[in-house]
Amino acid sequence: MVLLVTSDNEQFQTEKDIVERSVLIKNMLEDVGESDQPIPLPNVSSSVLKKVTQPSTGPTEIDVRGRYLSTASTTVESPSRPPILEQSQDETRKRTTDISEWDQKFITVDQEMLFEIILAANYLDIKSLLCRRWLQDGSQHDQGARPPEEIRKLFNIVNDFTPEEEAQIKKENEWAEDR
Amino acid sequence: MSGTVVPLHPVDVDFLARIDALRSPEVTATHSGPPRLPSRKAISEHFTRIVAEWEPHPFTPQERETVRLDGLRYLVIVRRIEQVQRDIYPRPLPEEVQAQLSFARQSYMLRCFRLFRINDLPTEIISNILRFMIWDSMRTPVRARLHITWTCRRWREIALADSTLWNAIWFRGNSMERAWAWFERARATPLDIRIDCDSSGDDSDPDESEDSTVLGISTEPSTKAVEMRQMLLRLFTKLATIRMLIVVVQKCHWKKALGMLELLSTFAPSTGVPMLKRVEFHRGGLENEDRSFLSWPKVIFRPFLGGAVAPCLEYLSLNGVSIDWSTSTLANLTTLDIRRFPQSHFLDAARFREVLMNCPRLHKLCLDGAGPKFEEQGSKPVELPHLRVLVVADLSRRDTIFLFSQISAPSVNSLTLMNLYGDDYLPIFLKITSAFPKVRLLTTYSVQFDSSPVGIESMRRWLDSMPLLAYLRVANVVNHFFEVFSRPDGPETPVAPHLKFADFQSVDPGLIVQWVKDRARHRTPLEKIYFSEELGGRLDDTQIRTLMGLSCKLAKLPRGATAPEEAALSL
Repeated sequence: MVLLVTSDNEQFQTEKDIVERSVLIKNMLEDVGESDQPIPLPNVSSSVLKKVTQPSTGPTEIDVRGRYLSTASTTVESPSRPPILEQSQDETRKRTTDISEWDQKFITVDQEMLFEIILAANYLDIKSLLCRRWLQDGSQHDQGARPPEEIRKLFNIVNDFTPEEEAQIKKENEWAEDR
Repeated sequence: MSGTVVPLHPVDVDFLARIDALRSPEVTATHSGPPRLPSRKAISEHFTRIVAEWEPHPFTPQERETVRLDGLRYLVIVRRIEQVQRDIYPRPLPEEVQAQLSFARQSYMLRCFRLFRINDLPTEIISNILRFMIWDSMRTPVRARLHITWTCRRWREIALADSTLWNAIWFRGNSMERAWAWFERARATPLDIRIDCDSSGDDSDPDESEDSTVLGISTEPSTKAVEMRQMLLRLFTKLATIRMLIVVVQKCHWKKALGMLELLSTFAPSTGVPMLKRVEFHRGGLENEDRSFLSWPKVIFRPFLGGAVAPCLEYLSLNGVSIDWSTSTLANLTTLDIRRFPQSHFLDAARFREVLMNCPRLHKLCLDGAGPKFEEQGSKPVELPHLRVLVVADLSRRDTIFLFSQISAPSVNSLTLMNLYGDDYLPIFLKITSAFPKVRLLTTYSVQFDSSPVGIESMRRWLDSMPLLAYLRVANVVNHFFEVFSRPDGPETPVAPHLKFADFQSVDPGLIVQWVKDRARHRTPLEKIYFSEELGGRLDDTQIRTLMGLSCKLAKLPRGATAPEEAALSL
């Protein structure tokens, strides 16, 4: 267990594997080694830390005893594949569809808290809590970026380029043609 | 959510009451009749349409509140279904309700996205988010970068200001304009450069490489060579910040390869190469190149980097092109990879040994048709205690024996022997018996050895000296190669007892099946076999059934891919 102290001086005993999702804390732990000393987090309040460290609550991850399991992902059967020779990546004939940790948390908090979580995630260096997945096209196998028009529509971002800038950008568009 | 009145529609109230009723074990559906299940495609099209029809605009406070309450309505539905799901566990939700849960979640998220003031986040955080997103888009890296710079002015400014997004640059064919734009945007950040000198429309004829003009592109340079030189001159204005330089020259074009090395030699001593970590030069060969008769024109090679010290250089790969080894400063490499040299250009043995001794952390040594010049009186082997990967290919029997007499690398984990044929290479295997006791990954392509009982027994002793062998990759081997794995006197002491995985390319399927059967009979069954796509297609149903009947998993391994077991054993 690791003892964390928040900006409002609250102490949290947290499991090591949970806090180690934060690169900042992981590095701190590596630096100090085994120690009972508390780790101060002056940029994170207790209410935010609770949100950041709480287990995700995907319903499919609850085991028989009602405990939370570690990851927020569901495993689904993939469509049928050639019966004998499989791709090596699919040896279990299963495919994991991630419901991201971020999405799980996002769904439960209000907007102001959301901002605070993102700020905390950035400070703590928890990549999985930054909302990059929204910008990616989940329908694409390689998680490529969504087209800009779609990002704008999704996030209600107004296209504020001038016609001249648009023209330049249109030209750059051609760069994408050859990968 | 406390204090917020969520306006549920009457139809929602009715729906949620039916969901609540699922808590009773007798209730298995929310309505009578067959489930009403929209297809995944229909749901996807629904959300795509909703997104497409949205015209971004600033919200009025009233509009914002309407979207928020609408989102909360779906959140209530999500929460209620989740509660029921927990309460009835392990009984699953009816399929239709699962689909409704998924639909409600997506509907909620859609409204959250619209409300979320992403552009109110601090610049540093937007920058981090964009950076992560780009780094995750491995297969469409260019498109990902372009998309974020087209979204809005703020994102464009943030992305253009982040030089680390633009420092992996590929110069090739029609992408030069893009490459130079990236080059400028990268500013002073360390650069990873790849240059592909395309052969299309090239004006230099491979045959002219016999001419002495190949000694330098400054002698009557052609148009293409001038363009190339200009490109390099501009590129090398940032030579001091180049971290990785990979150059690929197609089809034997000496002028380009030498021109590149020449300019590098000219600039490096004056600018310095403090960040240079990895250098690869690949000069492609002609089609059907016969490596045994490889010859190079009268080429004067220059000292690598003009003799300058590259303090961070770890990785050097030279393929089909060389350097003046005697005047080059090479030390502390972790990878040395040289390929396709004619014998006349092999390294002096003394210098070869010196380079190895100067690289005590050497991790990978690849000698593919290149290596030290044979000497009758070899010296004591160079100790390479950290060498884990050794590739020896396309060398004559004499040169291979000499090479193995020059190195001692007892920690090698992955050993590759390729294209050792045209002679009886058995003496090689005698030489390396007991030399690599920690090998777990063995690759053998086209190896030839004496097939007499004495030869087979010698090969067995070689395998016995690698008791940890777990993964075998094989292609183009002679039939008696597989005999090496079984002893005539029975299976009491199996050969390669820990061998669990095999990877086959260009091997007779009948031989494979027989070998796998023998391994199973000797109580050393294989767990998994990988086949190249071509070989997989040649297995007939009977052979597949036989192999699977031996509890052996079969899998297809795309060309160039690494099997997970190989990756794990490489650690």
